[in-house]
Parts: sequence; C-alpha cells; structure tokens
Amino acid sequence: MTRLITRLTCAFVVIPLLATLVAATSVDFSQGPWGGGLTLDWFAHAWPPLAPVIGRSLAVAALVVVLNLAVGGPLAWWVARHPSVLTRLTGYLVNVPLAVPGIALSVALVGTYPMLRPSGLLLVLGHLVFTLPFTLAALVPALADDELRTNESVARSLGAGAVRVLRTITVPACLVAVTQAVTMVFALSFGEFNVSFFVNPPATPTAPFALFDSYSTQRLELASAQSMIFVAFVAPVLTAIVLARRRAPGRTP
Amino acid sequence: MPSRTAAGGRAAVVTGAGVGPATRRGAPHAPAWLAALPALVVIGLFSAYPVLVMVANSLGLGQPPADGGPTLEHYARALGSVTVREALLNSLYIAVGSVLITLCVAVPVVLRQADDDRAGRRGGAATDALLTLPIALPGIIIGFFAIVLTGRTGLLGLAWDGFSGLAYTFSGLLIAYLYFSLPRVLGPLRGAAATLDPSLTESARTLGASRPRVFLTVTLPLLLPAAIETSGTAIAVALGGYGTVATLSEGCGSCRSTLPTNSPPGTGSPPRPPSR
Repeated sequence: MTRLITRLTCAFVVIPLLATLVAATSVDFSQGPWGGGLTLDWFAHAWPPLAPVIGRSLAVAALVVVLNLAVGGPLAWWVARHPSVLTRLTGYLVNVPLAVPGIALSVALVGTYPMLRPSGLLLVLGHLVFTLPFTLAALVPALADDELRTNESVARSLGAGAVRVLRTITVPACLVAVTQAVTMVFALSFGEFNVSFFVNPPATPTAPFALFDSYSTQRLELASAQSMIFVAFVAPVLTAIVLARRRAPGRTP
Repeated sequence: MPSRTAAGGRAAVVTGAGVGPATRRGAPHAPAWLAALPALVVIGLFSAYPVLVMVANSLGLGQPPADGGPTLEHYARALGSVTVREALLNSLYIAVGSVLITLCVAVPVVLRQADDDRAGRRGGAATDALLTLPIALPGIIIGFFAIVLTGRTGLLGLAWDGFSGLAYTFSGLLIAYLYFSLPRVLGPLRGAAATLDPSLTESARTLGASRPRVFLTVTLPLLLPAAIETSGTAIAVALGGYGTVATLSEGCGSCRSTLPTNSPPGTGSPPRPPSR
C-alpha cells in the first residue's frame, strides 16, 4: 500500500517533466505530442538568449553560497555550542523569512533599501536572508554533535591550535552537513522567483525571471525547451543533496 | 539594545587584545556571540527591520506627511474590500487544502522510505532524488507544467477531455500547489520518520494490535508534532508562493484572484499587471 503511494507520488513528480520534454522536442505541440515531427531546434533557439541569464544566476547563487558559509557558519556554531534563551530567539529571528511570504518581504526590502537595488546587492542579500534558515538547519545539529565536541576538546588538550582543530576535526566532521547546506542554498537561490521578481534590477534578469518572460511572450515549445535547460542545471545539484543526505550519520543502516 | 551591543562589541575587542596569546592558543576568550554578530546584523537589517517598517506603515506609524498617527484604518479598508477578502479566502483554501492533501500523501511515503532505508533496499536514492527535485523548481515552472499537461492543448487533454483547461480552474491550481508543497512537506517529515524507533511498532504488533491500530495509536502520534510544524511552514510558503499563479494567470481570467498576485508591488514593475 505505502509502496503504491510512493510510486504514484514519483509518477506525479516525473510526468510533468516528461511532458515538458515532449513539448520541447515537438515541431508543433498544438498538433499533439511530437506533432509535425521530432526536433531539437527549440533547444538550439532557447540556449543563446538563456546562456547569459543562467550565467548570472549561477554567479548570484555562488555568491549567496559563499556568504551563507561565511555568515551562517559562525552563527550556527554559536547557536549549537552556546544554547540559551538568546540562541532560541535567534532561531526564531532567522526563520522569519520562512513565515513571512517572500513577496511581502521583498516588497518591504525594495521599499526600505531602494538604493541597493540597481547594483544587484539587494538581490544577493535578499537571497542570503531567505537561505540562511536552511544553512542553520543543516549545520546546527552537526556542530552540536557530542562526539565532535569530545574530539575537539581532546585535540585541544593535546595542544592543537584553534585553526588546526577547525581544519582537521570540525570541518571534516561536518562535511556532509556543509555539502547539504551548500547544495540546498545553491538550488534555492538558483530557482528563487519571489524575491527576484521584485528585487531584481530589471535590466539584468536572473534565470527564473527570464523563464517567466518566455512563458508570457514565447511559443510553448520554446518555453518548454528553456524550462528543460533550467531543470538540467538544477538536477545535478539535487542529486548531490541526496547523496550527501544519504551519507549523513544515523540515516544509512 | 543596539547601543548595548555596540558597547559590548568594543569591550570584547579590548579584552581580546589584552589576552592575545591565550586566544591564539585556542581558548577563545572573546565572547562567543561575536561569531554570530555578522549574521545577526544581516538578518536584523534585511529581514527584521523591513518587516517592522512594513508593520509600522500598516498601522499608520510611518512618515508623518503620509501617515498621521496610529490607526487601524488601512486594515479596515483592506479587509473591507471584497476583492481582497475573496483573494485572501482563495489563497487560504489553496494553501491549506494543498498542504493537507500533501500531508496525507507524504505520511505513507516517508514511512515507506524510512522502512526501505532501514532494510537497506536499493532504489531509495533515486526515489529520494526525484521527490526532492521540485524544491529547486521555481513556482513559475510548476505553473508551466500545469499548462503543458492540462492547458487548452495539454497532453492529458488528449486522454480525457476533462483535463483540457483544468490548469486554469480552482482544482487545477490546487494540484499545481500540491506539486509545489510536496518537497516542502516530504523533506522535514522524512527526518522525523527516520528517527521513529521501529521496535515500538513491532512490539505493538506482537502484542496483537492490527496494522491500522498501530498506525493510529503509535506511528501517527509520534509523527504528529513534526507534521504540524512542517505543515505550518508549508502553508506559509504556499500562501506566498507567487510564481505558479503568476504563470497560470497569463491568459486566464477566472483564477487570478489569489492573494499574492493581488498585492500590488508599488515598486516593482511586473510584465503584466494582475487584473482585478
């Protein structure tokens, strides 16, 4: 029974992807699947305008990942190692963007900091605020692990410096959690639409924005091809998330 | 509060300089919360503050020329508008409905996945990857999927006429948001299911409880806290999920009135303004 439901759920997720692939390879989709024959022309047409946009999205996502680690890493360390009323309050504060609809927060952001919008700085910061909860969710449990803390204090008592403990004990032990945080943040930032739609400088769109533009103005086949290109960029990242999660201690038998 | 933080920061820097060698040897004497400071500044400036400003503006506590003191008039006007009320209700139906349906599907799926993981069965990774994928898809793509499958020339429409045009109806929107909510419910719930102790259900079974009874009296109560927390977050995200409805409302007259497309940005310039 549960197996059947799982299979059906998988089918529910995969059927739209296959259908979009069919639409993207049809000469004329309005005549039915592969109406007018099979073609890859739509992909050839879709790629040139999409390439610079995807490049920009990749750059934004990479920057957001780096900032997440630089800012969220120490925060996660503090929350994990010094639990108190303050850290619990901080936890709520970090999760504000999960509770406030993205659209509301982005309108608030643009209203409060209009001067940061043209440079794209506001977009990066908006993405950072939206992805921090996920970084924290991945890193805090890993950093709070008792065994890790014992290992660290043993290393320190043997005379290892803080940097060396971090480099040889803490980071290797948290590698799975860090991978999971990095891939998740990357995927979320790459596909983020709510914040991007309002905060994005209009002259320099990111990938979801360009897709939306195609959906409203282009042929269905071309828009399908662009969607499939987008999915092709996201899928490897997702696979990495899953592999990292399956390596996580306590999950695999 | 800010002044206290600043003073504390200065004091910490001074002490830090005073015990330099000790800090270098790996016993950090600087207060630990210094590590959290950059993140807290970012969150305070770009998450908490804008929201507070918005709340203040909504209560009439903004700049004096535009706002003349504390008032609930803005809320009264917003809630008094039939369009806003309808949009709010539609959004609530879609968000709550889609998440509740997702939850009914997700519970058996995560239990099956937890079982498979414990038994070390293969194929779990592929299922896992597939079911996680939609979280990286922006809502607009999901709206587009709905058009490809159940739009006027949709693929499923070839199989059964009732499917064509479904994307632009309330039920179509509900299904699209199901796709949107699925990974957001499955992910956290999976963690909760993985921590369930299988010996509990096993002992209940050996004591003679039927499968449905074990599910209702052992498994479900254990999953319930996680399920409630997860659905709360998922409903909030679905309420603000703008992309799906934005795509579907392109060329659709009947389904535009959900809340996200109805809140005019004032600052941004969407390619096409939502119609009323």
